[in-house]
Amino acid sequence: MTDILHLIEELLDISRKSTGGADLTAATGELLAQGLGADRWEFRRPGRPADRTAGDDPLEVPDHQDLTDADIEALLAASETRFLPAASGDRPSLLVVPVPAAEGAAGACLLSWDHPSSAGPLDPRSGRTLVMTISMISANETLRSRTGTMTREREKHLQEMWTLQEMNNALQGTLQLNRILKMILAGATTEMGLGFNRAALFLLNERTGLLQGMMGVGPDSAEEAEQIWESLSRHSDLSLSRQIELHAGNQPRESLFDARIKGMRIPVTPGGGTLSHCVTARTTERVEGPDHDPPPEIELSQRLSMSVFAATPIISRNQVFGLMVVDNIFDGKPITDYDLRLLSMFSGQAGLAIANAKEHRAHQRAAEELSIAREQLLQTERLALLGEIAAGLAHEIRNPLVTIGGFARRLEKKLLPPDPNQRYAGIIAGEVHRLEEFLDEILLFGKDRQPIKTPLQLNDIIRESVQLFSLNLSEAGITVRTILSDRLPTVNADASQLKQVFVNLFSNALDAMPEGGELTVESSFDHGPSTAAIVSVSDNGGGVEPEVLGNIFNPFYTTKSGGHGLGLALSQRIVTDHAGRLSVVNHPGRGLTFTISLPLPDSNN
Amino acid sequence: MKTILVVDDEENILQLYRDELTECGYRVVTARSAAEALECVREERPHLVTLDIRLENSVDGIEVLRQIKEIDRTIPVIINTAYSEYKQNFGVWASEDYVVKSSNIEELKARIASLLEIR
Repeated sequence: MTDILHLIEELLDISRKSTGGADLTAATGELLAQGLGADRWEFRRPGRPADRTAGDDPLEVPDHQDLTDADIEALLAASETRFLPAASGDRPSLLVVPVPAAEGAAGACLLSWDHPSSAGPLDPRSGRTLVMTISMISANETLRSRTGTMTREREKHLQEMWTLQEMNNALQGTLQLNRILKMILAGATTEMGLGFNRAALFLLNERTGLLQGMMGVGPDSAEEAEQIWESLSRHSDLSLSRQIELHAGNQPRESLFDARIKGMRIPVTPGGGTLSHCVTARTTERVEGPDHDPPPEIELSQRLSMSVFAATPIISRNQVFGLMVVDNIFDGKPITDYDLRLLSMFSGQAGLAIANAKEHRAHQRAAEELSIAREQLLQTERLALLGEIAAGLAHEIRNPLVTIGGFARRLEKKLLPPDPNQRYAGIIAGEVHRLEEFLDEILLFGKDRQPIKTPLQLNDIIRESVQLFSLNLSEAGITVRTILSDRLPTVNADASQLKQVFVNLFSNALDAMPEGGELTVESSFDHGPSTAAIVSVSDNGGGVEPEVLGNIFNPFYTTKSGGHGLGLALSQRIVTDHAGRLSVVNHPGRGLTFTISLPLPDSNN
Repeated sequence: MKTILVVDDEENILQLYRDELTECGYRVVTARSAAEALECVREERPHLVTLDIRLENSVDGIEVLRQIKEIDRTIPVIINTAYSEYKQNFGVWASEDYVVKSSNIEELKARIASLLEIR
């Protein structure tokens, strides 16, 4: 009989020293064979006849063909061994020792003896103890490996977070869009960052629906790639964020890759290629070849020799800004799921940084515009103030100048050469004249005077004037009827002065119809000897007495109490300034009709 | 001989205008205030008035203009002032002319002549 305790001790010893998995299985098999004096051993898994670990001298299959998988599983469940004594002289006897799962490798260890004996090497109780020990070792092993996996995963996560944090730090350092784009690509290509060979950014132009290549970072050849990696490894002691900053600043001249990217425009359409799909479906795609669904855009392989790559959309505030595309064309490193995950998270940060930069730029622009507007306003105010001061000064200065210059002229006229006093007087008069001219000039930026004529459509002015006065008219219960000719050519006139005239006439009509009534405005085109535009304004206020009619355009003439009687006089002055005529016709019992006639510009004749 | 009323609150200007216009053959009467001016208009019925907008005691020249016109609408009034921007003030449209004060009186004289001729 075997020394079972000794065997168990040794098993426990192996488990302490082993690194797990297949190693442990092999070590267990070896130890069992040695400890139990078997000639051969083999480890077999149910359902996987080809998957076996064996000692130097493997058993032969026919030796135990009557041992089924079900048998093994039953033994596993019962934690028992089974001894199959040799049935005939040329078949070895077999001991089956179940080995529970250690990382999914549940099965049985088969041991055979060349010299058959009827009695097994283990009594049932020892056998059970042995199996339970192995079971314990196996459980321990599973636990250890799972813990190992968890630890590795946690480390990975930490690494991910740290990488992202570093890249974020780098991105936070600037609000300039261009620099941010560079940093994003630098982060994607540095060894310590995402570590891709090449990275490119495309931004989506919403107006045109095109993905526009903005920037590409990456070597143009394998040799260049080597050089870059070498130079970067010299900086490996720097933090990732610092490396990214360096890398971003270091893109010397325009690389070929960058130039090619800048020349690319990819349309985004529902039935488009991979990149287009990334944008519309907002998915991260890993493309391994041209038979990806949807197939990659032909420009990628044609212009960039890009066939195996990954693309991720850059999204911020639910809006797709563009795409980041990466590949490993030079070292051919496969793009793993881990890489994709990191890339996707990074694109989230990139989106945020880009959104911030854009907002910042918009703010800057708005601030600039505001600043300009404020400057302009200040300038206008300054000028206005200056104008006012100038006007005040001018008056104070003008009066004395009139006296000085006026009398100097008189002297100049009275005196005769060769009396030098005559010359002196002349000089005084001349200097005064100079000053007066200067005053005229500086008063030019005071208020405007002459009508500022621009080509305009009378009908527009009429409509605007009616609009201006509409509230007053409707409050007084006056309805407005407009009959405007649509063949009225443009006239040259000062819009605001004309409006003043119309409003004056409406106001007059309002006064004539205190109980309400009808105001009619008509525009027409006079084909007569002197072509003119005619506008008539009529009321039905009953008309006026003849003597009123005679005075109606006279300044200060008014039949209204509290009126100043200047409106019609002013209107007439404005119309005559435009080389036109304002006249009135009285329809007794009906009302007044004022008629404005304005000459048309010569070119319209 | 035509009578011209010159209204201005500055004595020197009055003297200058008086000398100049007398030489042109006009009879010149002067007034230094709104009250004087109106009294003169009532009594003398000048053929023409030159009027400064700003008179002392902040009397509004436009108001004086209105009152002159009320007395006799037919008397032409030339507004003669150092201010040029009053041209846009609708009140001055009631006057017959607007001449900015200058050391060169010729323009004023020409306007006076043409207005008197029209009458």
